[in-house]
Amino acid sequence: MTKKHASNDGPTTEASSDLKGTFIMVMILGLLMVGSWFGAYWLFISR
Amino acid sequence: MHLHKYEKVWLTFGMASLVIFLLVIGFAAFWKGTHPQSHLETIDQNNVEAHDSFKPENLGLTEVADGKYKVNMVASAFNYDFGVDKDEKPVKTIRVPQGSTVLFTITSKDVVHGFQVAGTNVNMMVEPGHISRYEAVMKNKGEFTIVCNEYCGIGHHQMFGKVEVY
Ligand SMILES: [Cu+2]
Repeated sequence: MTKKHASNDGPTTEASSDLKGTFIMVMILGLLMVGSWFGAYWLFISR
Repeated sequence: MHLHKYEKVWLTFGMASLVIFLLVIGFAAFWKGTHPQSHLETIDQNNVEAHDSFKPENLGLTEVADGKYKVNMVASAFNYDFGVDKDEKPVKTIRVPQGSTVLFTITSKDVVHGFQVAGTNVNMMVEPGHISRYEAVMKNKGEFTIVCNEYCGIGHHQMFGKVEVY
């Protein structure tokens, strides 16, 4: 049995957490919201 | 507190959107005068004829100036009263030329109704005791159906009319 991962004594994983996927999803959601706002605004202007 | 670089980016994005959209609301309300369509005037719902706009002879379409029109209407369950034509028949279609400015004025005799000219920006709630107004420029040619979009009772689906822009 190896003790390789058992020696973690603190929240050291936080600093190196990979948020790239989260970042992409958050930005897609954000752009969807902003995009639909401008879509409704464009409808209002064009009618 | 440690914040990940990406977290800083999306928090900034989120807070900036909040501020921008709040500014847009403030701009629309205080600079452009966007308010609920019924905010200006109240009326006695049991005696709407007492108001000049809703006297039977003043209902329907009137040209007030070159390219400027007004339409006075009374909504009731389950009908829109647009006045009568020269043969004393109830008017169901409002015809205006393209590009004209039309002021729609409407009130209700009984319950809450809706007034939407589908396909245009004209869309208001019609409340008893209030006068709703909306001025619109009819930019696009076509036939637009007027519908009641507030459920008002068993005959709700029979409330309709037409605006024709030629
Ligand atoms: Cu109705």
